[in-house]
Amino acid sequence: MMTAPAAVTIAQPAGADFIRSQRAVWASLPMSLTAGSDKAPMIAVDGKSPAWLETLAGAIRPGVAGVLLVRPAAGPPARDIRAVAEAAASAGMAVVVETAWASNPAVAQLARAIAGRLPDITLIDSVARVPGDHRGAWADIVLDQVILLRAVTGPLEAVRFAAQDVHGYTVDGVRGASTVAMAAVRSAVSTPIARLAAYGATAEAHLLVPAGSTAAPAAACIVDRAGATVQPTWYETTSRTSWRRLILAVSETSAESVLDLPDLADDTEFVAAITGSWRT
Amino acid sequence: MTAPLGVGILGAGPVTQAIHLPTLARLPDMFRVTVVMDVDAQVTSSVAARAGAESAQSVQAVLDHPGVDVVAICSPHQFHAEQVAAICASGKRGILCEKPLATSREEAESIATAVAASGIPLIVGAMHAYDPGWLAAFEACADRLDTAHTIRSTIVLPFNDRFENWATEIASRPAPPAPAGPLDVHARAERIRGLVLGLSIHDLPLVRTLAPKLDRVNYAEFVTPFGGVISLTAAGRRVDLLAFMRPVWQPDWRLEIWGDDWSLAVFFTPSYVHAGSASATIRDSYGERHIAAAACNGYEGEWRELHDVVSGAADPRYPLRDLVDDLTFASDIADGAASAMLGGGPR
Repeated sequence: MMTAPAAVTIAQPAGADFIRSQRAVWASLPMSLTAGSDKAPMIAVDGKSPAWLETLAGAIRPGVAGVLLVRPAAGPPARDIRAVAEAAASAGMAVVVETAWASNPAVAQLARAIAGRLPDITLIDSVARVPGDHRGAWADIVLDQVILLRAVTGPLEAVRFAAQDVHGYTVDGVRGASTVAMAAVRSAVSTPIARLAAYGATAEAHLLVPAGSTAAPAAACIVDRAGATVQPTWYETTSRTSWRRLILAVSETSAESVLDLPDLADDTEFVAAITGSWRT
Repeated sequence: MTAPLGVGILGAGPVTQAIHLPTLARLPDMFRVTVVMDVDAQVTSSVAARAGAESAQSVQAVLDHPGVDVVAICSPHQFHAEQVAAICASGKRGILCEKPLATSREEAESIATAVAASGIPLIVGAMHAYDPGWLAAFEACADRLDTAHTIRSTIVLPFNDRFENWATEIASRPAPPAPAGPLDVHARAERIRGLVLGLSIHDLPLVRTLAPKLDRVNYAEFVTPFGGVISLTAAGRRVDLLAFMRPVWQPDWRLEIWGDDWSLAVFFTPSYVHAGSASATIRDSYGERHIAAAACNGYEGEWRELHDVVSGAADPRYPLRDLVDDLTFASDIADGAASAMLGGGPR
């Protein structure tokens, strides 16, 4: 039986590009979403808008079933994010956080494929390539990269050292028994891509994730003694994938309670520790 | 045509067997292996026989051999300085010394003194420094390399025996070290030193052409079974070194260099395999340019260089001071990495 598409709206403030891109994504889910009024049960929050956390907090109100927080900038303290997370949980509201790389559909696919197959990762290596016109804060890139690592291999646990200059950063850390090498570099000729490799004793995962707004697929493969298994390509934008997650979370048939905010708070705390130790 | 140069080889281990003998076999107009020396008589005899050479058990026997024009040092690192000095005193015509040239700055300086006094040409077996793919990329980017701001060396390989066995039939190889239990920080620091001088060193001469002086090692950690992560700053540039050997088969050996409006990625083959040169990709505002792999690899490049320099056909590509500075650079990184791990902080 067909059901009517759910109404969705955009919380203000939001940038013009953000509004345009969200409407384009909704148009790609015409049976599930339709632009609605301010009373719509699903809301998109522009994570690059000033004071996005206050905007998100304002979206937690009766009648709202789910919020998609899109590409949040680093900055709000972890404790404030946790407070909003608790309010959302109390309200029974789903909050999906979309980030540049981790929300690519290939990432969850790879994470499922390696679950249980890489129990003994000793080295995690990740490089983010940032285009030359990137003028955002490096902390935003670190946050996206930390969230990507969490999505594939689990959360980082400690920071060992960070070096940073105007061209990028190097962060070294640990996750359990794994050493983590994480870097970013800005160059005019770079396409925005994150590379990640997780090396286990008998198998390893390799991932190349584009960060653009297109549906260009990530490349993911698992290498073990038998060879290399390429994961299926997935031509869907991260935004569309994120909206589908939210739709599923708020649907009556979903038993899953989706609340990405506690992880975002933890990762924010981690990033604050990293950027706090930067020196040039 | 002049007669091939007679080659004496010190050390008959896997590097001699899988790298130098196959390479020299491809250069019969330039070289003829005359004598192979190793302390293990059985191995020496077997390895020398496959090259149609004599076998010897002492360095002096090689130096006294009238058919030896040039000497390749493929012995353990700690013998290099002493053996270079002995060759310099022997009146031989040239030296190819496997990397690392020495194990310390002091040893390197003593080598420089001996080599300079003798006037004998010295080539260090840093094969990537002679790799046609790297040299083509270097030339293509020569006018912009001084604007590089970020350098990343990634050396992820399976263990050597996988590749040695495809290059030759190994007569004997050293027993693998016993599996290590948990390592304390001192043991890890010592191993990271060995990692720099044994694995990372392959690309450090290339890194030094872009970032000639170590400012500090920011971070270092050893990774089992044999690998490590080292972050450093050199000549104001951010340099990341990642080196890792593990049982999984897939190699990934690349040197990536970024400037504000260009980038260069050089992709090397594994050691031992004689699979041609590196390939490279250059990106700039005009687009993307690929440098295809050549059939000639860096091992051949080393030996061709030695032949041309000894025969007077060319000047050395890398002057003696460069070779010493390469070793000093590597040694400083090794020391700095160990120090950083031991809690000395950035150095």
